[in-house]
Amino acid sequence: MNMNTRDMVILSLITAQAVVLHYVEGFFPVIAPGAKLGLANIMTIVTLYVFSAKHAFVVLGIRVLLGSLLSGNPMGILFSMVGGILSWFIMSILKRHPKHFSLVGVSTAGAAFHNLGQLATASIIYNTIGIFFTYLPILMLTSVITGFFIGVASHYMIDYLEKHV
Amino acid sequence: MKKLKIGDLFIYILLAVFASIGFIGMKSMATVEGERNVVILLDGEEVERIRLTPNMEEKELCIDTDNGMYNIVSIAKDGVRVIEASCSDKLCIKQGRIDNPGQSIVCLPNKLVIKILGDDDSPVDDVTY
Amino acid sequence: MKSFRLLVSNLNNYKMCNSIALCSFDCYNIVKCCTRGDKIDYMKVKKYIVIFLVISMSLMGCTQIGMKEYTKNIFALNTYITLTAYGGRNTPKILDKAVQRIQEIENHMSTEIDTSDVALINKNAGESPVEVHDDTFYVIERALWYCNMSDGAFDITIYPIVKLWDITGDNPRVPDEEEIQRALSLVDYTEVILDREDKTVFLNRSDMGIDLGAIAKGYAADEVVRILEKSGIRHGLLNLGGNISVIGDKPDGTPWNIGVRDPREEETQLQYLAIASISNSSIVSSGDYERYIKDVYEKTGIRYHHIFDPRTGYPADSGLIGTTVIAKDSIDADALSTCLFIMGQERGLKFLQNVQGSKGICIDNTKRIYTSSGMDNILEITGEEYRLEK
Repeated sequence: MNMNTRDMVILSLITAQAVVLHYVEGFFPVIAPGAKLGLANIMTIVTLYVFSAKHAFVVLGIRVLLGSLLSGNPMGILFSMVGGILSWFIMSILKRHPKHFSLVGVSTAGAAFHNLGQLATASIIYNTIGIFFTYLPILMLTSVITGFFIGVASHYMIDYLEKHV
Repeated sequence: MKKLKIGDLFIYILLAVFASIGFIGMKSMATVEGERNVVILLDGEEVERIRLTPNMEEKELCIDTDNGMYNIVSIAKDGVRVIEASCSDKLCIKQGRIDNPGQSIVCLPNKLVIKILGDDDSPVDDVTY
Repeated sequence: MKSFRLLVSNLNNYKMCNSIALCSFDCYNIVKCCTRGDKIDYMKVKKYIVIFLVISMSLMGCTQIGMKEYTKNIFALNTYITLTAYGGRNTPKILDKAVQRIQEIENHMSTEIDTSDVALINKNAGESPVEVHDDTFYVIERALWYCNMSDGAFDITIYPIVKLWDITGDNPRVPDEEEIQRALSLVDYTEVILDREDKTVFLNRSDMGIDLGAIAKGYAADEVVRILEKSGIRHGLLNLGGNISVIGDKPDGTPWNIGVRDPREEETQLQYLAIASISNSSIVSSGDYERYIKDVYEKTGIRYHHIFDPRTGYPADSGLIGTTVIAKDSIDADALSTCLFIMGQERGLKFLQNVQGSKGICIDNTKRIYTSSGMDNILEITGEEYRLEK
């Protein structure tokens, strides 16, 4: 990962903002295990598009680690990591086909798989397969909504970064 | 970004499929509504479990404890009660018939508990006495 | 990654308010980033984002599932105990630990186990001080505090009277006046002598005895709550023979609804006259209905029940048929409900106001319900025959 100072500064800022967003999100109560706004996902997507999948992975990893530690929830590392990696994986695949997938589509898929990963982890840890099925529909619905808004937000941020920085 | 692309549609379809998997899974895991089970516990261990059905015949069970004591329990479609017991206080007989989920009969001397399990629609979680 | 490190160290070093300020600053930046490059319809998007945030915040209730219900039933402390806890896979092990603790408490404080601290204290009454376990000492100390506070309405040295009547035992009877007076002369909590240094308890006269029955269940409940909470259980319901303690709220985030038993509903199960909504506290009832001599009751119309008045040696007759007390700790609720029952409505409720954090209700024999302050919001009367007095 060779990068110049400019990239490094931008990436650092992005990571910092991702950590803060992750932290802020902790203040929102959750509707179901895994259901979140996914604000920090904006930063993953931005990195993914402006830089590369590799960079996005690093940003994601640091964000999850520090964000969870900051919010005093070490258990959250596990959930967020599984969800985050799954969502990163699917997004970096979809991102390679910009002709077929729009930003909103990518971010929706990312949100959905993030939720899926968290939900699966939760149901394995708590040993209840029931909650997996119960929350699947509602999580898919929230993914569509959050995915759309996160996609739109990311779009504007990417636009800005590409034009001005 | 302004327009949804063909792949996005595919993602939405995929999510819809996931959601329906959830619904199907929910359905298959849900218990039959209104089912009531009589559970008899002796010193915390389950010794008997019988389903209460609307057209069951009345039957009597004799529950023996290790130290030679016994309770005779009558189970019928309209509920469960203790009809005879060797305990000293006979409180288990006095507690009468139970038929709603969440109710229980306790015989302290014989360490016997009879509970009805099922969908509990009682407005209280427990009762202090 | 210098600036990043700087930010993290900032976040770590600064206090909460600083990091929140930082957060808001960053949020502002992000919104600016997101919106500045855009000429077309950013007002629109911004509006939608705000609406979306508001809606999602209000939508996101606090349902937290992902826990399973585990129940453990045991017979201990002379009663039937049900422990219910919501948690992960390790919950049964935690419950087993709690059961062990209950059995330990029983082994220390039961009057019926010959090797228990309490049995040894009673056996050595008037002879020698007995060294006891820390928990027994704590419970006796706490009990004596209540004896003192209630001016003897609550008295753990009631044991000679309890033994005489044997209401809860195998051969209950109504003793004659002379027997009662003789036993009553042995009832005096000031003659329990504690030595904090050596952790010993001494009863000043022989034939005296203590009975922790009115408070040990409460202590056991507190210990179970402590064990479960320490192991990370955040929702639970404990029923120790009618003494109820709840941990947190229900898993769905609403308070636990606990019925207060109707003291005059003998036949049907779990009939309640009121519902109390509580979380993170304990609710305990006392009454004349639980154990009493039935045949004598039918002959004379008097109910000889199991809660004795230390001043008369007879079952407490304060005009109340049932009392219920809510307190943070079950040991307090347990002792206070007995105090309230013996002291009667007026004196008892006044006493209750003086003990911080406790509240309660009492039901008199004309089916009127009196409450202490703080009950209005959490109590709902459901029994039709009962009237709430202000």
